[in-house]
Amino acid sequence: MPTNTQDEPAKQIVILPTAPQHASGVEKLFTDFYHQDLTEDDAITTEKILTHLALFPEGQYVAVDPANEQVVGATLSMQMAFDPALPFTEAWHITTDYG
Amino acid sequence: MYGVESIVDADYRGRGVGSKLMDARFHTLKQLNLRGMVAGSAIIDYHTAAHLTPEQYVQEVVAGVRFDTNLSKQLHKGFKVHNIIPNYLPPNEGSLGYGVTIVWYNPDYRVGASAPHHITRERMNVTLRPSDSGGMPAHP
Repeated sequence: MPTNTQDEPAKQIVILPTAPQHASGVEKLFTDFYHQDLTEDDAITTEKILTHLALFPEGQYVAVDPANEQVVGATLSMQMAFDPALPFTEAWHITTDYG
Repeated sequence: MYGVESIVDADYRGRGVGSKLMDARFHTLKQLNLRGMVAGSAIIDYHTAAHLTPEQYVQEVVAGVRFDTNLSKQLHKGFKVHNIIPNYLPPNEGSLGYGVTIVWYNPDYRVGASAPHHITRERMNVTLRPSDSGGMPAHP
């Protein structure tokens, strides 16, 4: 039976509730992606991440590669009132107060 | 719940990481008995079809005639388009500044039921799928 020894083992990650120790890794993800495209106000900083974590810990998640403990993905969420009967046309920086 | 940001490292895109992070949000809002999730979705490929109005472009993406790297994947996760946002982002973006309010309604929402004091958020082990090279870098 032919074998393919070049097949890589399936990569595993874990999805975790964000903890304070993940904040710097989350900031690095955003910094690496946006580079200098964001103003200082728009940047997702460790301080903003920790604020989200304090206000709504249930809404924050990270993806971590267990091979090196690197944060490889993240979501930030908040709670808000929303009326589905009305259009919602706010710009991102207004709704999130710049993140 | 409002989706502020979501991002995946370049080396892990196109392998389902963003989808699993979204599933984690859905799990949380179901446990909290929230009505659903709202987010702004930048239509990041609109610049490739700027001869269309934003409304026409979004209609084609919703119909599956056109693929938008951001919005199409969110529609696949069950989000519905609510309305166009004309000045969602700066106009120099691929979206030409346009976004779409998208909504995911919690099918388990119970009117009048209170949220539990404690919810469980367990560690989820995920096996990544092979890369499809079409990963979504960042979205709400």
